[in-house]
Amino acid sequence: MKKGEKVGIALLVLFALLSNFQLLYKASKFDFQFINIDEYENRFENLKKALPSRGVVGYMTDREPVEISQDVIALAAYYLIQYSLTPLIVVNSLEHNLIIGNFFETEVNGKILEDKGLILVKDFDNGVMLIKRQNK
Amino acid sequence: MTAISLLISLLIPFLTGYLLVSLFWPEKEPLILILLKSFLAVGAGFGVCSSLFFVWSLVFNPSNKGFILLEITLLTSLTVVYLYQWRRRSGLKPAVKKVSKLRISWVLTAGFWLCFFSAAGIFVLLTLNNPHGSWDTWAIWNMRARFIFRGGGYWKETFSPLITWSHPDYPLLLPGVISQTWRWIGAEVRIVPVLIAGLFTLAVGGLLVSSLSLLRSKAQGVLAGIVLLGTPFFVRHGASQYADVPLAFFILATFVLLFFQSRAVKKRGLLLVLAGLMAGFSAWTKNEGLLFLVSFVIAFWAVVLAGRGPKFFLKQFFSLMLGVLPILIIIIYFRAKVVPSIETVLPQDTQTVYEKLLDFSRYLQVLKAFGRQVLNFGDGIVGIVPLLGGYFFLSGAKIDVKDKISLVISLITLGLILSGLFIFYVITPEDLHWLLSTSLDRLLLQLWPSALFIYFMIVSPIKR
Repeated sequence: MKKGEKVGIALLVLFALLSNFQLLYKASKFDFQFINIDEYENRFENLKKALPSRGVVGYMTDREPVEISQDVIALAAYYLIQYSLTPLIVVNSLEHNLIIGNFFETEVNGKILEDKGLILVKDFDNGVMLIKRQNK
Repeated sequence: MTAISLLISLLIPFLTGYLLVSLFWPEKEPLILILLKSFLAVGAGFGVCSSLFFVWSLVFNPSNKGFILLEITLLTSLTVVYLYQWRRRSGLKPAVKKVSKLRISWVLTAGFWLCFFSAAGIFVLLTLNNPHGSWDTWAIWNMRARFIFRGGGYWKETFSPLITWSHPDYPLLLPGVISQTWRWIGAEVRIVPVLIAGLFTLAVGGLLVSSLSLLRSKAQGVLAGIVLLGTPFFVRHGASQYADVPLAFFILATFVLLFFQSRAVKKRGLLLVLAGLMAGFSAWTKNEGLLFLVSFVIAFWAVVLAGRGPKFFLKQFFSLMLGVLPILIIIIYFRAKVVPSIETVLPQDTQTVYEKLLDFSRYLQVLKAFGRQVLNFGDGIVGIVPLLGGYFFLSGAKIDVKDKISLVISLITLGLILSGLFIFYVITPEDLHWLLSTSLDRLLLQLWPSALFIYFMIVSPIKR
């Protein structure tokens, strides 16, 4: 084997190892966690019992799940509700009889619901609410 | 009880895959070939079971426990055929007789195992960080698996146009494997997607090392393994439970089988059937797999027809399509009947596409992004591609004459895929900057193990 080839191999091995050790160190600090999904899913345990097992429900929040670049947390919160409540379909809309309220502020002004023609069915105390549309 | 069910649920696809691979590739030695076939078996088994599970779910529904019986029947039938074949032991003899007996240097041995264990450590720690995986895992892949598992007779509601953000048009290999494994266990066990992701990650590394060890030299295989496992982005994505690493597996498996076919003494094309099957599974894993499948078939068509004449081409092409077609039919049915009218891509008219094609600045923007990604690819302490360029300069190239056609097919395939991706970015209706920054690295990752395989098939093999 040529000397240059040996140097090449040594460099490839060295850089591979250093790269891995760097990521291993970062991963050991546990700062990769974006959101604790288990905790998040637990928030909806009581709500699940009050919902039908399938069908379509609406979704309401105090932070609109818009573009990911604009509010990544709000979008994740919405997607994770779908992940958690599957096979129920959760649509980001108020045009459904039953609506899930997922609020970042746990104290929600009742007038907000009233203004939108909605009635609180049950408050699960942790920012999670079951809401329905007022019959006109 | 759950642990035993879990073991059986993963063992059945693996054994099915192994027997299937062995039917087309009956050789039983050397030991490293058994290992190579085992790594191929991971993807083949998951692919077969996932495809069958989809067809079963269409006819009955995913909750119907008869599927377990079907899997056991398939495994038993394959075992009987395998045992019959064992006695006859006639088959292909790919050129794997000359396995290098040279001992590899301690630097490579130590480097490989350090890389392997550090990569395993990274995988475990990242999984503990995010046991549900990363964004696309819970927004798309595992959400769909939950839907299929929990939905029973209503499982098709997962393709509802009300949740187009979850990409209902994405193919079902990964969600199918996960939900089918849960069905075996009878519960939604969280470790299942993690284990499947781990198996695919391991299989990609194992396939790269074992194939290059047989086709080039042990040292070459081990060095390629070091580079792959020392690519933090690859290991990180393995742990993310995304479908990119499984897709990378099927692309690599197709290329590996193509090279072994070209080394085969008898050109019966059996390994091409397997290669076709793997290419089909790539399209059943992610939509980008369809781009790979089309590119591979075009490249195969052009090179074999030009290089070996129409008679040889037709025979080989028939073998290839024999593997591709069953999966392609499933994909066509899925697109035509299950998710027929779902638009997950923003609509745009022909005029807009035309304007984008004439907009030079978009080409420049995409080209710059490709250049940046290639130079910095891997998330390592330095970009791995320039380093490999330097190594090529020091070692030189040495190509086995038997590999030339496979090499040209592989390079043209990669070229077509990259061109396809390039044009896709140029005309995308999405915000170009956002799309490039969130997807290009993952698209290149899908090709990374194959690019390494081809690179080490070209670069002069390490003698000792």
